[in-house]
Parts: sequence; structure tokens; C-alpha cells
Amino acid sequence: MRILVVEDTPDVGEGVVESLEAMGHAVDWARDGKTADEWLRDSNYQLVVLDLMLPGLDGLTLLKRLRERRSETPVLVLTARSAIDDRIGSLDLGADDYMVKPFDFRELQARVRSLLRRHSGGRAIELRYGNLVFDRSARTVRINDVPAKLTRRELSLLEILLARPTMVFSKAQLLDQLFGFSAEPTENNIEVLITRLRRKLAGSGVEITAQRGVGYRIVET
Amino acid sequence: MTAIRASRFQLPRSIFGRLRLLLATVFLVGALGALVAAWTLSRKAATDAYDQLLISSAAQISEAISAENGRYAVLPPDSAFETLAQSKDDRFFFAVRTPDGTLLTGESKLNPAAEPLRDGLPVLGYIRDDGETMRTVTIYRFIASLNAKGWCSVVVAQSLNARYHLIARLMLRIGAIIIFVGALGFLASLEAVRRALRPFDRIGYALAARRVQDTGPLEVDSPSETQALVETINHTFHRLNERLNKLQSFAGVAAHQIRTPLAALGAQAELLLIDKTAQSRRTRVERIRAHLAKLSRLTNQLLGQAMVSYRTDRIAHQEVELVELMRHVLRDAIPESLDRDLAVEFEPATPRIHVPGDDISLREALVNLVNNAVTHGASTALRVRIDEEPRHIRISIADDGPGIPPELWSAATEPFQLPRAEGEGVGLGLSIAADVAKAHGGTLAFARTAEGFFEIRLTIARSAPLEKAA
Repeated sequence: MRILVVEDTPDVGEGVVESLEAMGHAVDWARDGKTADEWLRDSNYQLVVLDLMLPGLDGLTLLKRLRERRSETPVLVLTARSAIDDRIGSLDLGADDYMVKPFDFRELQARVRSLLRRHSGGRAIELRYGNLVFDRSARTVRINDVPAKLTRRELSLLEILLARPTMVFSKAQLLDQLFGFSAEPTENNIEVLITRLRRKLAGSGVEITAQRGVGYRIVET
Repeated sequence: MTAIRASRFQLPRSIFGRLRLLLATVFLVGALGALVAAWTLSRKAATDAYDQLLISSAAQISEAISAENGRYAVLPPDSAFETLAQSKDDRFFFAVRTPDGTLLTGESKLNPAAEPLRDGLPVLGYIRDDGETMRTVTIYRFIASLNAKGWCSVVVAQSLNARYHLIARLMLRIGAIIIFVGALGFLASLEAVRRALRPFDRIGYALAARRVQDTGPLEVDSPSETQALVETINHTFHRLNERLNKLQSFAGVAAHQIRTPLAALGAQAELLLIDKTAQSRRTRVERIRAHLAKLSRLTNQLLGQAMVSYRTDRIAHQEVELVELMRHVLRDAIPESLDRDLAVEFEPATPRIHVPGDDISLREALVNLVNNAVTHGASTALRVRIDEEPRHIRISIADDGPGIPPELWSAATEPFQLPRAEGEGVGLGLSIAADVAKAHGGTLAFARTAEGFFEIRLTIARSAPLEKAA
């Protein structure tokens, strides 16, 4: 995936770029708002990591311009300002998530992963398949209009599969999208997770099927 | 263009000034009333006294009318004029007429009053003569002799100067008494007011003379009427004192909490420079990271607390929608990088729940509570509920972790009071949440649910605290 990092503090920018590259993404690093604005007009990015306090053109203006161009690129805002007004403001202006400095780089990686996952199947808030409704903003699942009790990881797994129904995902792909490359969980964890999710999806009109040696997919029964 | 200034009367600012104005008005109006009454009475007294003299003079003249052989005659005695002549500034004249109106003696310009024709009854009146008002009295007398028979009249007129002098003399004395007594009363009342207000001055002086550091009770000799005020002042000082002490110990503990990880960071960085093996360097970096994480959390909480206490005092409450707020809180407060898997349950009973409040403070409080529950508590499950009670909205955050033991519940909402294991939070989260709950007319409480979950309950008053008091 191509990611644009907009950050003027060298030490922070370096850390963000390195940790995103470690996830296997291609990262461009803009050090001021004007450069970032130009790059955003010229190229297509799958994600923008945006610092709010920037020389030249500030982050909020940049974000406003991006959304005025009707771009749906997910934006993760970084801010060091203390007031929460800032966070709310940026969410209203179309940021998809925000983190307050100083932040943990593992958390940054996890948020990036989650943002990419959420945007893989378009920006639709509700995913419907069979008798199952996945509300992405409330992060809840209803089966036959009854709320299902899913854990966060089960929700994430279901979200990945539901983004592209009938498409087969390999265990490695699922592992990558759920935990990241460097994470310790093994393919065994995926199998356990799949088993639990299957049990909870009983009667939903959809089921997770295994393609031996290839991976898993979700289909209507 | 001329500026039009509305001259508006303004009451004096001080109680003494106002009472002085009131007393002055009362005494002035009272004195004026007394003077008017005195003048009315003096005038009546003077008029009655001099009228009596005038009547007796006219009566004596009328006694002296006689008729012989059909001819009327009068010879007024000297005594009839003696009393009138005593008023030296006054003119007087008289006229005696026969029944057919012929002037017998005296001034022809003086005419008798027309009515009534009754023997010896004096009739009083006024006339104008030579630019002067004069008092007149008319007395008729029935004369009956052989050839003459009928009503003879006597009129006596006297100018009024003697009466005026008497009124003036009386008024001078009575007026002096009224003014003297009034002024005395006014001054005495002023002194009484001044004395009544003196304890306030004493309290004021005692307060002004205090040093800033001095927050003990006020030592001032005060009568029972102002005792309540002194007690209120002392109570306020006491609370201020408590607050200051709390702030001081907070600053002390906060300094310790900031300096300790900073010192540890310095030490570990120093050691990193001299460490030889990659293994031990890695251990140092891990420790540095842990200390940094702790410092970041502390910084966030200190900033959060400062913000909440600022907003508590100054930001007006508005309508806040709790369900959407809680969804945001759950997204913000649960780390994506959490190692454990977690079942997060939040199914609000109604899709929208509104309360008056400050959304930013509420969010800060709830983020702290949820983050606490996730990082120190919940091993597999986090359950959030929002319940509507008659007077409050209750937000319950329950997890299946160890929670806080009941013996620490009362101390848990005080800053830095919970014992902490290495790497745990610094213990401002619950105190922030408790402050926010209080500012919203609610409380922060702890409970153990039937299935063994540890639950934190934050309540928010459904109506604004001020409205409730009304």
C-alpha cells in the first residue's frame, strides 16, 4: 500500500516512516504542508498520516482541501495540541482517526492496519450479507436483528471477509491484516478464531468455508 | 450636537449613607409637619385672643347707645378703646348707626354686616382698607323707647399687625424647639447606626490586616448579630485552607511522579552508552520505553485534569448525547494494539440519551475509565451500559478483571492514592472522573456485579444542578 506521511519534526517523522515501511508499505514523507498538498493532487495514496502543526500550510487546511476534492483517502491525524477540541474538529473535517503525541508506535501500526482494513471494502457504514448486518461505525453485528456477542478480533476477521464476500483469503493474509508481520500470533490462532466465529455465525445465512491448502472465504448458504 | 445627560439619582453605596439619607428625609418631613401644625395653632390662638378684645370693645360701645325723645345718642366709654389702643402698631376705627342706617358717630366707610339681627351677638368679618386687611366685628342692639325703636349697629375694625407679631413670636419659639429636638434625634440616630455598623468595620480591618499565609479563624470581638458572618468567613477560610493543602500535596506527589521516571531515563541512557552487549542494550531500551510510556500517560492525565478543572469552573453546560459520545470513547480508549482479545458489549437501551453537560469533560472522564478498565482490568470482556433513572443517567463500565479491592474504594478517587505496580498508570484517572461526575451533579461509585464483574458507575444529573435547586 502507498502511504503519505506529513510530519515536520524529523525525529518523529523518521520513526513513523520506518515503522510503516516495516509493515511492508511504500511510504512518501512530506515535511511541510505545501509539498504534501502538491503530492496529494498528483498521486494516489491509500492512507495519509497527517501532523496538524505544519510549516507553510497547516494540517487542518490540508485535510479540508483534500475532502473538498472529494477524495476518500483515509486520514490518520497526529496532534500534540492538548485541547480535545482539536481532535473533534479534525474528525468533523473528515479525519478517520487521530492519535495524540506522544504515541506508541505499535499502536500507530495497529491503527494504520485497522484503517486500511476498514477502507478495503469501500466506505459503506453497513455491510449486509445473508441475515447478517455489520455496523462498521458502532462495531456491532446483528444476526436476524439480534445483536451477536463478538470479540474485537472476531469482528475484525469478519470485517475482512465481508469486505470481499466469496473471495478466498490465505491464513498469511488474514494474519497480516489482523496482527501485522512482526506479531507473534501464528496461523494456529487464525484457526481458533475461525472456529469460534463459525459457531457464532450459526443461523445467520452465511458461513465461513475452508478451501483446503488455500484459505478461507465467506459465502451465503 | 449636545450630549443629553439623563441626570439619574443614585442611592449611596454604603449602608450608612443610605440610612443617613432615610433618617434625614424622615426628620425633615417630620419637622416640616410639626412647623405647619404649630403655625395653624398659633394663628388660631392669636386670632381668638384679639377677636375677644375686639368683641368686648364693640360690646362696650353698644352698651352706651341710648334714645331719648326719639333721638339716638352714644357716648362710648374710654375703656372701650383702651384695650384696642394697646396694640401700638394697629389702626382702629368704628361706626355707630341708627336703625335707618344714619351714621351716629365714627367712620362712614365702615358698614355693618347684614345679618343676623340678634341682640348682642357679635358677627366677625374682614374688610380691605387703605391696602390693608382689617378685622371687623358687628354687634346689633335693639333700642326701644317712646318714639324710637329699632336695631342700632356698632362696627369696630382693627388692623392685624399685633396678631402677626404674636404669631411670629410664638412660631420663633416653637420652631426653635422643633428644630433643636429634631436635630438631636437625627444625630442620635446617626450615631446609633454608626455604632451598629462598627462590627463590620472591625471585621474588615481584621481581614485587611491578615497576611496572605494566614488562613486560621478570624480573631475578632463581634456581637451576636455579626457572629454568623464571622463564622461564614471562617468556614470559607477553612475550606480554602483545605484546598490549598490538597493542592500542595498534589504538587509534591506530581513532582515526585515526574522526576522519578526522568531520573530513571537519564540513568538508563547513561548506562546505554557504556553497555557492551547487544542483549543488555536491548534491555535498557525496553526500560527507557516503559518509563517514557509512563511519563506520557502522566503528562496526558495532568493536562486532562487541568483542562477538566478549568472547564468545570467556566464552561456552561449544554445538551450532550451520550450514546454517540460513548461510541467515540470506546474507539479512542481501547488500544488497537491490545494483546488480549476482548468482547466489548455496548448496546444502549435507547438510541439517543441526552443530558446537560460539558461533552469534552465527560469524554475525558469516560476515556479514563474505559482505558483503566481495558489496561488494568478486563481479561476477556468489557461491558458498558447507560441506564436512565428518574433523576440521573447512570453509565456503568464493568469488566471481568481483578478490579479495585473494596477497602480501597473510598481512597480510589483521591489523586495518587492507589498502590501501583511498576508500569501501571499513575492514578489520576479516577480522580478526574470523580471531579467530572461531581461537576455534573452526580457521583462516581464502585460495585461488584452478581457475576463477579468489577463495575464503575458514573452518574449524571438529568436536570442542570441549578435548575434542581430552584
